[in-house]
Amino acid sequence: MFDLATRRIIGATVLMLATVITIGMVWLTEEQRMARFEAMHKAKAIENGALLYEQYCATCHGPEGEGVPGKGPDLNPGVFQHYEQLKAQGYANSLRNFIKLSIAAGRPIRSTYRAEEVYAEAMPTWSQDFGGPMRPDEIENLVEFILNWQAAGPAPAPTPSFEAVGSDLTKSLPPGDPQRGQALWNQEVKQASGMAASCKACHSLKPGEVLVGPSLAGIATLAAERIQAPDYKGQAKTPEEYIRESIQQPNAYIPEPDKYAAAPGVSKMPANLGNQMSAQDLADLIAFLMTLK
Amino acid sequence: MALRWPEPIPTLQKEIQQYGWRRVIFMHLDELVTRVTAGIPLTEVRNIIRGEPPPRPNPRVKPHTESFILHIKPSFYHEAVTRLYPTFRLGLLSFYLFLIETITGIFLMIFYTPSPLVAYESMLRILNNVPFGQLMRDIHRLGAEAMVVAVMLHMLRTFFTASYKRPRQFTWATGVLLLVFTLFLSFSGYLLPWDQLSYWAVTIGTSMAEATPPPALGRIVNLILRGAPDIGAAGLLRFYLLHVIFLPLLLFFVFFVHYYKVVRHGLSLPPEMEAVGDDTARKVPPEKRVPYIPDIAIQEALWGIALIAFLVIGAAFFFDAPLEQHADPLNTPLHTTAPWYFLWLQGLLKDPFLLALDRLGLPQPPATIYNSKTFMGVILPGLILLFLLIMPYLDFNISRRYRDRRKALVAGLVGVAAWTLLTYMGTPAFAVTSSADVEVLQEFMPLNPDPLYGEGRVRTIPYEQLIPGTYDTRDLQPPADAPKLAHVLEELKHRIEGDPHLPQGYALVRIQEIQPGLKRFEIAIYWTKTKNGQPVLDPEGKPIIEESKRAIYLHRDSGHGGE
Repeated sequence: MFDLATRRIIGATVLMLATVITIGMVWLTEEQRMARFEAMHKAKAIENGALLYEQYCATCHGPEGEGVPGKGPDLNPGVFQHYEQLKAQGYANSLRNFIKLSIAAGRPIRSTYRAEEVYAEAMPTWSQDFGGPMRPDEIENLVEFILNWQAAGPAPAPTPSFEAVGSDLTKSLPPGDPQRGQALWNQEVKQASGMAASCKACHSLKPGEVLVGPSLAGIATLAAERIQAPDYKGQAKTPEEYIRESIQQPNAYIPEPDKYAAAPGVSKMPANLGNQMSAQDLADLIAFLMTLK
Repeated sequence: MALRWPEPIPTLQKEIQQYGWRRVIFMHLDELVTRVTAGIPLTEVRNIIRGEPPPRPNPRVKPHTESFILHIKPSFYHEAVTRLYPTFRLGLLSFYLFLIETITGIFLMIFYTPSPLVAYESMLRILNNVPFGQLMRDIHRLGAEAMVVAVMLHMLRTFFTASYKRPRQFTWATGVLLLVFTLFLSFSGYLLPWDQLSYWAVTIGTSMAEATPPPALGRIVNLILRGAPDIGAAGLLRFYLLHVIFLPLLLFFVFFVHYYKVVRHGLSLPPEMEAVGDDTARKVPPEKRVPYIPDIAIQEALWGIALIAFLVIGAAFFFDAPLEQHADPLNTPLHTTAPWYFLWLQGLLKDPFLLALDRLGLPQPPATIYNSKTFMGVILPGLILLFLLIMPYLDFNISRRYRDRRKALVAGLVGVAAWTLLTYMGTPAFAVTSSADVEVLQEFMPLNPDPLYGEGRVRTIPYEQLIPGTYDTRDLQPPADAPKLAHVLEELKHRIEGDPHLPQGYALVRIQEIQPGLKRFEIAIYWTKTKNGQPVLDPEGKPIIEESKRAIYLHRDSGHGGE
């Protein structure tokens, strides 16, 4: 139809037009594309952060950020409430930076938030900049994951309706069920507060293994020896009472204080574990521990 | 004697008085065009556009002596090389691609910092905060792959048309160097995004350097290349400098040697038209001459337009340069591969020689004499490279015709077949053995995109269909409104039950919503431990059940489940 030169001219014109139109289309959609990529990358960062959280954080702060008594405070909504409290006191940094710095540099000193709680260990440093294991980009991912809780809004705190045993040693206990006690220990059933018992986070059942607190292997036998010991200062008369006292009033007597005291006269063991338990929970746990001869 | 003009410089006023203003405007326009085109006057430009033949003497050859850019191009081509065969324009395309890579590369350089701390962040910025950033990156990457392909095909073409023979041996040798530089240019750019893909591909690629004999030299080569025993900040900077300065300069220099030799000896004619030893450049009969300007120049411009259209449209609609997770030196992805053009080396490193001995039941040579990595990773590729470089000087066949070169052509085809086979052997599909449970987990949910399985089947499920719950493959009851989830669970069931290494295998799949918009997907595989086909029993006489678990998280916006 056309000679070669004309065909070439037509072909080149079509190709040039196609190129220009393509660039025009890219130009017009570039803003949306960049926004879409940003959202997608943020979603991927949250996914990565979730894996890191599961690997590094969940043991102390709970798989869903609900906290583990004695190991770490709740993050959801704790971290957001803590930030609001700090801001009211004049803290000038952003929430993102507050979380990022807390993870990267750790918490060398106790904060005033949740001051009534006792935690066995301080928050360690996590960033490689401060001697921890994580790269900067991993910390960023983790921050995205934690901030995603706020995007979701703080979960309403369950209002437990139960009578906690607290630190009252005089209250009478119902008969204990060692089977249920073991299930409590293994976190297969929940305490009355609706949270899992956190004993095994710090206490091993293997002889001699020290996680944070001493191993509880053979605790029944040991308890009987402890109450006879000359330096024993507590009020317990039986091994059961000794275990009960250790749970409800851990500061009453601290064996090997150089190993297990957070401060002079203050055990690493949290003093408020009784607030999570009903009398039945406590009795079942004691019954279970008394089987560990 | 004082230097002075032979006559007074004519002023504009005098010119107009002498010639009239119309003629003066034309004269000055003509002078401007002649200067810009380096020697073609305005009337001749008009003739070119109208397609008229040049007058004699031909003013259209002037730019070949006057212009810097054009002085390297021949002023006419033999008519036989102006068609698609025999050149396929592969050399021209390679050069165009090099130019396009340079331009897009400089664009990317503006937004890139070669440090492990921020390199990946630079990539994210290019993708989410730089207008046209993704397009430029995609063109750069697509162009790099295209350049490797073009240069390889260019070499194959030169071999099959026997264009490398006398007097063009040295042109071939420089061409082999250009191929090597192109491969290393592409490979050095591979590391720069600093994601898992690039980090591990380059780790594999450079691990061969360590095997350079003797061991002391290997350590030094490795240190020079990586800047440290492993790739880190120093290695990234070195690869960056190789990529943006050293290799391009080297390639540019060798390219000019190569092209000078091409022009010097003329583009080789099709085999049947030119005997070995002929220097065609100076012997083109006048009636066979096709002038560079305008015919060839227009052709080359058309190829350039077509190439740019291919790259722009390809990058905008069909090709996305991959970007995986941030590089993690502590976490090796399961199926790591070198870039595709080095897969043949990875295939060599799986050592076909030892595999053959093994298959034949012959004893393996002792490691002190035969070190597989040194021999297959360094010595053999070195010999292949050396052979390619000197091959034209060893070729005493005096004919370029296909029918006289049966052995050479067969050898060439065998070489291509061997390359293809080794490339296949380099992929994880060949002789990579990890345990059966890990392979299943990798197939369904790799932690990084897998060369064999891509993102994995789990990530093809749309977010809404990830209905929380526990699903047991022994008794599948997937929800009715999640067909894709049901499909993947069904596939998982068949995959595990059909695997001979997972006797009585089954899987528990647990989906939980962790945060709004974020779900956790866990696969736990259970199977009976066996030894010699018999279940292994524990002290109480019960069969031992093995367990393998992996969990990933899926966010609503992370782009999975897309078709």
